[in-house]
Amino acid sequence: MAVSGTINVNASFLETLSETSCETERKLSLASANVPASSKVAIVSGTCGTSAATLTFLSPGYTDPNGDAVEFSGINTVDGVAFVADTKATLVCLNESAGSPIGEAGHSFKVSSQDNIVAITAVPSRSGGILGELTMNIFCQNVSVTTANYSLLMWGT
Amino acid sequence: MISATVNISGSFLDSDESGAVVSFKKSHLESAETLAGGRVIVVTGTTNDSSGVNIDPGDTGFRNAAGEEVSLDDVDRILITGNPGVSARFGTGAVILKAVGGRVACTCCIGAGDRNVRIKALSGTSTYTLIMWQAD
Repeated sequence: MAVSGTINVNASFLETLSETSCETERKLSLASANVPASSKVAIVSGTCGTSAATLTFLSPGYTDPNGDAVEFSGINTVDGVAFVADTKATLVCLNESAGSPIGEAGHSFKVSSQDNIVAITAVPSRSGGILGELTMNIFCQNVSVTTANYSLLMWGT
Repeated sequence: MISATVNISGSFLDSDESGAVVSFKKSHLESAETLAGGRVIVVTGTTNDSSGVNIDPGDTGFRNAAGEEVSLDDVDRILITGNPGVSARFGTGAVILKAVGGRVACTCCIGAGDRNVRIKALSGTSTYTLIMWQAD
């Protein structure tokens, strides 16, 4: 079994100011290309509503090419997550037992996607991992949107 | 006038070899977005793992191509990178993104009141670059 992958993000903003006989441009660019050293990958698709759909790392419901279920023992073994939704949806992994501010400790993240735009975050390993972080919640956060089709790609070891 | 592109892709090839048979499974996710108009801010600096830095998009001091100070009253997209690693969250809310090793993390912002961003180093100190964009 072998996994190879690439994660690329490339953003470029060009700001143009036109005045008489003069044009000023300012460019902001941010890019990264990453080859994760991951040995597991899973992609999960589904539909969510305003009530959270729960996805468990232990059994995300994905099988590898050999037909074996892909399992992550917890958020400690996930290196990164990419999330996309066709309307508007939010993916949350929270350490709900931590004190305020929420998500200050552990591996929490909260990414949102709309109109099929991918959101992506690293999930770096930290000492003192939180046992409760075994699941992620996916839900429609925006009041005007009550259902969304989503896909979630996660990679790790 | 702002024109922008944000391209994101994640692609993995999972292979299994069993005797004379090799099985492949490809997982791929991508988006290519064109943003037109709006306002954009970039903030670069160094942060720590204690209090971090608070970025108020209404008062960053960032100036546009005309030399005018840019102020956002809402945020629709956030991109962040940090080295060795940073986390970002809105106000006192949950951490939304983490970026490590100079790799870029990004998200759409669909919650009400997504505005001030607190950036903290995951450990010790870290450099960061934050781009925030607000639609017209």
